[in-house]
Amino acid sequence: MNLFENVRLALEGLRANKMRALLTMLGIIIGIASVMAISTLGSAMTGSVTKTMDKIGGKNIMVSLSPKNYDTQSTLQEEDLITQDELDAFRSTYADQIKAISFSTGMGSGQLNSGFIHKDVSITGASPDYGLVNNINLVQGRFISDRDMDGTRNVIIIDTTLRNNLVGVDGDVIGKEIQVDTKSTNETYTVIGVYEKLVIDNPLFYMGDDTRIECFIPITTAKSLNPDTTNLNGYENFTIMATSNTDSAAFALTTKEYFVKGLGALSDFTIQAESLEAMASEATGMLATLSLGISVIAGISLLVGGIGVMNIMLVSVTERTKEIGIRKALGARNSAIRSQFIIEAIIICLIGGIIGVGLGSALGIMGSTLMKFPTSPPFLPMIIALCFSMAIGVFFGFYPANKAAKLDPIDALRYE
Amino acid sequence: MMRNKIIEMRGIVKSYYLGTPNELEILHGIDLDVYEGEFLSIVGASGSGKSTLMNILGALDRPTKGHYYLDHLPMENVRDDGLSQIRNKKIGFVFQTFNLIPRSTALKNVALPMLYGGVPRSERSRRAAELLQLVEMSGRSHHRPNELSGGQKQRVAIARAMANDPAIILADEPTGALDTHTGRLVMDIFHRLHQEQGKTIILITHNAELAEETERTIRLRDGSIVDNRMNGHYQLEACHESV
Repeated sequence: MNLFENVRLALEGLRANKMRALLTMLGIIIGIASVMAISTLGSAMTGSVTKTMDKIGGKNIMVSLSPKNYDTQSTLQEEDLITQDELDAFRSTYADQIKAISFSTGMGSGQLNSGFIHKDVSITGASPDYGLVNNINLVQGRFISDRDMDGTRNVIIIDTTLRNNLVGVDGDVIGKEIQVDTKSTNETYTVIGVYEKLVIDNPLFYMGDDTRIECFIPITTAKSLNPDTTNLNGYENFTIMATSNTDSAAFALTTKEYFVKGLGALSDFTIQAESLEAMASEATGMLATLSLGISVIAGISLLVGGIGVMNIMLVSVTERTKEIGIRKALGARNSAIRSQFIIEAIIICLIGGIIGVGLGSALGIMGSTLMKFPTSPPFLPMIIALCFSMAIGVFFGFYPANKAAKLDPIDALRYE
Repeated sequence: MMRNKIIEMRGIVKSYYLGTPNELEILHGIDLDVYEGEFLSIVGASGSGKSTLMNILGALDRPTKGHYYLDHLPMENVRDDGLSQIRNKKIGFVFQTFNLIPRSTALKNVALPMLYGGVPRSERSRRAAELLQLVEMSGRSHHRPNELSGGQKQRVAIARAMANDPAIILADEPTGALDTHTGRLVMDIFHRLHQEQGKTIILITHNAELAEETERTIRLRDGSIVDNRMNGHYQLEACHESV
């Protein structure tokens, strides 16, 4: 007897008890559907984290000086700061791993005035590499150059919203002079570039609705203008962009060690270096743990479903004792009886698995679409889920099937 | 003319152990020969060991002692799968309670032994249809057992017994659940199979009248054969043959 004949026999058996088969399947359907929904959602979230990381600079390492002890008030001393020379040395030591280093300092918010137009803006002093490191998308003009830095020039990069307000979508704003008043300065800047604001539509990276307009000026200009700035001869924070084939998490550790050595043991401060990649993998790791936890619960429901299948198969064997006796009298071998019942259990589980996979993927896709993580159903988990449901059929079908196969034909024939 | 001995039983003992001191012996050394083409009946009161003998004849059970050759094949040391195969190929069962598979049509019921015998699907349906025609049940081949009368069910069961062209047909009280008229029809089919196809048929019954119709009757009492004689007109034929 081949597999095909066995499948036909099993289907006949199931067709005789449709409602019961469906109810038995329900346990498997629920189990598989929840595993499937979770894995679809999980892979959508992980995928979206990776995508967003690429957008905001996955290879970035943020380095900053931070107090060793937050309880005592510690003031940053000039000797704590990282000097340009130290940075140059660092950069040449690890030239093959560093793509760019950028610095920035916030100057706070101010008001931009140009003719009748008044806008609230925030001003950031940035170094030339800031644009590259932070993925600033220039649509017009240029970013800050070394010459702007050296000359502490009053030049400014504005965003597209501001440009549209000033000169309209098609207008030329490059070279236009605008005035920006902050708490302590009123300066006139020449517009040299326009950038498009990065939109992060990932709820996992939601950082509040930032409607402020950010404008960039050379960091040297910012420092010279801002009398509060004490860190004239060094930096307390900067961002390293590692090359694409560098393990940025490991390089963050290297960086930290390198600069901690330069600090000296007496300093109240230490170096913190965090790679975005490591932070992201931490986030995805948490997601993975979460989905593992939910999968365990779903697995328990699968187990319960499997026990349900076993229970129904046992009932079915008892109910069909006489039939088994007849089949044996007509020459069915034990193995034929066993495979008939195992295949029946597998079919229940497989049909349940297919329905569960369909339902679960649909739920997962619906959920991830609602949460704005566009995704396609994950192929591998589908195959795994189907194989797993078949395995449940084999596992929980074996005992009842074996019981059927071992029935004594005389006793079975006599059974009423 | 040498007749082919299809069944040879020597000293068949069947006992059940109900703990060592309580051995219950059902059959006490049965010797039985059945020749090819014979129509034999086995009679006996209930408790005489009829069913036990039939189970051993039908390869559903093994004797405790003794030798049993079916179609010259020694049945000792045949494993369970071997017994299944022997039941499938050599024996056709007809039961008192028909024992058809309730969810399957008449045609599928008839085809079932062929399924277990590894006959290809198209061949199975063809032969099953042929067999149903033989028992005049062609018109009902797609009906399920619950849509058939008792006599019709038994005819389907006889067709099923013939499926793999067995060496013997073993009929256990085949008319026991039928009224006289339909019982008569079923017996006629057996006679036809015996006369037209030369089938070896063993009929187990407690109905003396039906036993009388067969060539030879074996009477069992308390686990032993107490009578073994030729019946009526067959006796004459047998005399002619031996002369």
